Amino acid sequence: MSRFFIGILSLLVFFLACTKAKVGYDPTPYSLKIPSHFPQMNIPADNPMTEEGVLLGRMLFYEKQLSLDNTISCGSCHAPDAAFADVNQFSQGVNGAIGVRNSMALVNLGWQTSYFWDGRANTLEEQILEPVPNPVEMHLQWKDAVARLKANGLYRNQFYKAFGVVDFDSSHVAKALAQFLRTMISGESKYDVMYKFANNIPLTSSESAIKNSVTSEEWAGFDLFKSLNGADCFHCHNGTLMQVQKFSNNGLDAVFSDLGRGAITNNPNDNGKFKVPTLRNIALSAPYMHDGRFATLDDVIEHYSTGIQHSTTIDPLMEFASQGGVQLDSEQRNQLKAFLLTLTDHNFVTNPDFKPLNP
Amino acid sequence: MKHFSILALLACIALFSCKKKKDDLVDTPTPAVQQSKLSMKPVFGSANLMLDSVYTMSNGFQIKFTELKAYFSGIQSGGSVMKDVALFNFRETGNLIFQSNQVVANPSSIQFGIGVPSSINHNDPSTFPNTNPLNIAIANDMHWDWNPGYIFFKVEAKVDTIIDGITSCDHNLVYHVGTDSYFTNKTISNLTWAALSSTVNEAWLKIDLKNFFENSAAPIDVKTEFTTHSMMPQQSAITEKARQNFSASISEL
Ligand code: HEC
Ligand code: HEC
Repeated sequence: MSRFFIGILSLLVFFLACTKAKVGYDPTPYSLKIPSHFPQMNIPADNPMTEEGVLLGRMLFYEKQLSLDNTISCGSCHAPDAAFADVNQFSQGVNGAIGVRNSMALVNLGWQTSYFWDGRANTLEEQILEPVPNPVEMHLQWKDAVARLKANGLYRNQFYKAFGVVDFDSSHVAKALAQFLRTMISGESKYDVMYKFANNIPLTSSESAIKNSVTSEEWAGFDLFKSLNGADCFHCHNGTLMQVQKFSNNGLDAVFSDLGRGAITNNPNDNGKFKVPTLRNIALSAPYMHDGRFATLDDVIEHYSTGIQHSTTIDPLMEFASQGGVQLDSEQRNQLKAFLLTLTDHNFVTNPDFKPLNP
Repeated sequence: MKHFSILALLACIALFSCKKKKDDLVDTPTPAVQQSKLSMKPVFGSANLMLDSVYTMSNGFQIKFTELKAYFSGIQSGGSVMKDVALFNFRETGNLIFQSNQVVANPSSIQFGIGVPSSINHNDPSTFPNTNPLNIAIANDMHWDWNPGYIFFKVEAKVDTIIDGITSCDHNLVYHVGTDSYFTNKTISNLTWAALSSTVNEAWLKIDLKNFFENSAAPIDVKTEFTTHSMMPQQSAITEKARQNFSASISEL
């Protein structure tokens, strides 16, 4: 009898001495597969990457319960087949609500320094808090979204595994989604091999084979892309990310109906400026620009060739603005387009790890 | 005796079952380290310069600056390197060139390069550590991959060349200077240091962007010399002027 008590007692002491060490919370660190020609990714100290967190993020990304009428998930407007953007000019939120901006391709987000076309979010975790309550997107109060998830044993379990919390909230949802989004790395397109070659970075034998398959038209397009007297694109779309981190006015309008960055900073010098988007997988993410005004890459090339509108905030690096654009002839346009198509990363868009868990 | 051993056992269990807490105990105060901070104040003649504000050049043209960035490398005093590379980015990080642990105490004379030395200028920009200003994530638009290497400095502005009393700065000026042959060595003497706190000493440089255009040795005519990306040989004349004037416009404050 007394043995029995001692047994119970020691068990009690054992548990009380360290209530933290609950069974089941032992997350596995996630190792990001960062291509060798990319810089390291800065991961926020309060949201380390774990296998459990990434899996939870993936479940949440395709979770329609996060929308008011259970019809829309993040993946509805950021669809794998469209390079995680939306084929529609303006995405449809719940009840057919329509926004005013074109959905953005979600790729290499871990290296960005601001989010949304106007950069109104500084971190991914912050960005993710927006779409759920946004009336033209998922239109669901966070407390209701969290209540729905808490009613689901699968999620209760996974939140516990990922963060060791039972009473989770929107910040945990954001953290998990951010972890998933950070895994969405694209760096295996034909362009990546061309980039490495141009930057004297050694190629593997399979990369050398890809390099040898680059057509003369694609090389000519690459040359035009980065030529000052050619298409002059590289000032803003550049490097491994195919974008620089800045806000710029690329001459879409002389008068702005959407102030873009200016509406966030209230600085008229920022009016008409938008986040420079990546050109990765650009062939798949039509339509183009913050308002999806161009349906095709030909339309985009036409804009940069002859359609530049002058305004006070136009980027000084739109260097041929005074002539209306870079004036490419039809052969050059074809070359430039052929180059833009090399930015498609098939391994990325078909990666099963980025698709719904139970399609 | 029996009770004692049970108690001892319990105590052991209690201690071992919570090993992790130990880590919290380590908390030694770090000793104060002396630091040097170097800053640079952009001016336009006698006025303080701010981006996006309008200034008037000696010829009456109005000008507003939109970008001012530069790499400084091998910042040293008498051979002791105070900082290997620093990026001055006026819009994003203000006046700071660098702040780091003191190597030389308040030197009155320093030497540095404007730009990135050729020995590292052509490295893969992704391979520098995350905190190094040459890492592409920090370099951002200060790296060219069409002509692999860094942009040494960048001055961008908008100018109004029609003197009619109406300010309309819509003529773009872009000076991007880079490539190995435009690397410039610079010496500053008579630097004065002031104690910002018990551990930080600060010295100031200034850069006069009025002089960047009007330097009597090599004035830049903004109407005709409005752009360079350091393309050789087409842009060599204007690039050389920009290189010379940028360097000549930097002095102690
Ligand atoms: C109804 C369509 C819709 C839904 C649903 C939606 N988004 Fe978006 N997303 C957009 C649009 C449109 C933008 C650009 C909005 C803007 O700039 O104002 C955007 C922008 C973003 C960005 C910024 C990307 C960048 O490069 O700056 C991220 C990240 C993002 N969404 C993630 C998510 C996540 C995570 C969810 C689910 C919680 C989600 N989105 C749900 C349409 C949607
Ligand atoms: C001065 C900077 C700058 C230059 C130079 C530039 N772009 Fe852009 N580009 C931008 C900005 C900013 C946007 C987004 C504009 C918006 O939506 O308001 C953009 C958008 C795009 C888009 C649409 C991306 C999307 O996801 O919707 C494509 C495609 C594109 N640019 C291709 C090019 C090509 C090709 C060139 C060279 C002919 C070029 N750009 C030159 C700044 C630039």
